[in-house]
Amino acid sequence: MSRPSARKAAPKGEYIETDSGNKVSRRSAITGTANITLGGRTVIMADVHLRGDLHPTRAAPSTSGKEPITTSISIGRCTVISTGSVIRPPSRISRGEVHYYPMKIGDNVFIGPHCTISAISISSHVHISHHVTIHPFAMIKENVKILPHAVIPANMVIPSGSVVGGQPARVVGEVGEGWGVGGGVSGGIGGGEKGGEKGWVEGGDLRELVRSVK
Amino acid sequence: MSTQPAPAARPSSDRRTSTLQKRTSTALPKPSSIVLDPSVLIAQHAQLTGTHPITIGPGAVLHPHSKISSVLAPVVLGEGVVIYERARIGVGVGDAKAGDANRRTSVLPDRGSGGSLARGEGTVLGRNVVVETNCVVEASEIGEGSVVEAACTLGRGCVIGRYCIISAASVIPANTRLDDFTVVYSGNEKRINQTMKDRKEVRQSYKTKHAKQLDMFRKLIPNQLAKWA
Repeated sequence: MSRPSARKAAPKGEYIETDSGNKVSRRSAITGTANITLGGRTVIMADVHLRGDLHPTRAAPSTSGKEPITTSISIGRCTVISTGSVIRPPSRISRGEVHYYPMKIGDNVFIGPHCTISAISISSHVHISHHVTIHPFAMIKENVKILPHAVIPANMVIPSGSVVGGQPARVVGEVGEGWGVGGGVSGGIGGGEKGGEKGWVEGGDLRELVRSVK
Repeated sequence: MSTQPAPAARPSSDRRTSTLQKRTSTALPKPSSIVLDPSVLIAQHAQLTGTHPITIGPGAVLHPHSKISSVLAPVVLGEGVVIYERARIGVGVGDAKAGDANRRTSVLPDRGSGGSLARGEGTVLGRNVVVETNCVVEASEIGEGSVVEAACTLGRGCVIGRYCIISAASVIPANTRLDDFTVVYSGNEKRINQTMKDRKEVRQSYKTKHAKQLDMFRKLIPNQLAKWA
């Protein structure tokens, strides 16, 4: 989060840009920054909550080393988290103690406004619409589109290439061939025709979108 | 959180040359009385506002950016209540039109009986109630052990029983009464959680789990109780 000292009297914009190109809004609410990793060129918009303070408190049993894993939220490259979303790592009782688990969000993931996310993992090229609730320990594979107002139940595993929606969410279709590919090609249910003219496509490369955020 | 500058820095009122009325603060007034148990955990950026009294019982946890508002009526949070990020508690915290217009499609049928408060005013959350992220709770009462999941809206004057689960993104219209052990899901479906109702040990383990969760919060979240006490 350190800004280069050479830049003096830079106009205070909405976003703080890190060395690796992450853009973090000044109005975002991030707790436990030490436990959050951003992959680079990731956008955190205003009013986004990242609960890094809710981190794992003991070493995972599988690790051989004695150093405890404390990363609670890791986010990949070119991921966009829109306004008002809350990212909170999932917790459950394990061996008689409440334990928070580290959550992973992949590359080129778009998270729409006002979502509540507690998934254990979200793979790359996932498009999440607005007002989506993802309950703890849901696992979302690659190339998934989640429709607005969906409620993903706890522990749900969403296979890659599916479209999910509803309360509770069900797989309602497939994204089809060419999803996430730029240009005129768009497949699946409502697949990305609105993205075309803006230079980015749902489930596609979000680099253009990230670049446009100022 | 705007803090007032030191009063010495301001010109005193008799030295003011302008006859214009001094601009009054637009910040919400601090509650007239906040009764906090010393074991309450209030995270940084949690907000308590309003003019009526706010009472918070022992062991309650307020997450960052949660908001308790007693602008129109008093608020009482019971023992071990957990309020997550950006949840809003208290009568008058939700804007009236947000409930139906743009939020979502399926809503429980309104039980009618007008919009005015049917019961005694105020919001009372029972013991071990959990209110998750982005909820708007204007209900008058929520019973012990109930869970209000993410992005729910509970209208004014609702009475929610014990051990209810209001699943995510549900909208409960004003003056609804839910029996004990009700589960509201899928927007407008309801059922009774028979396991929870019949088996005392399930409720007991639920309680134990909640206590452990509270302990964990106490370990992880820095307490800013001193600011409010």
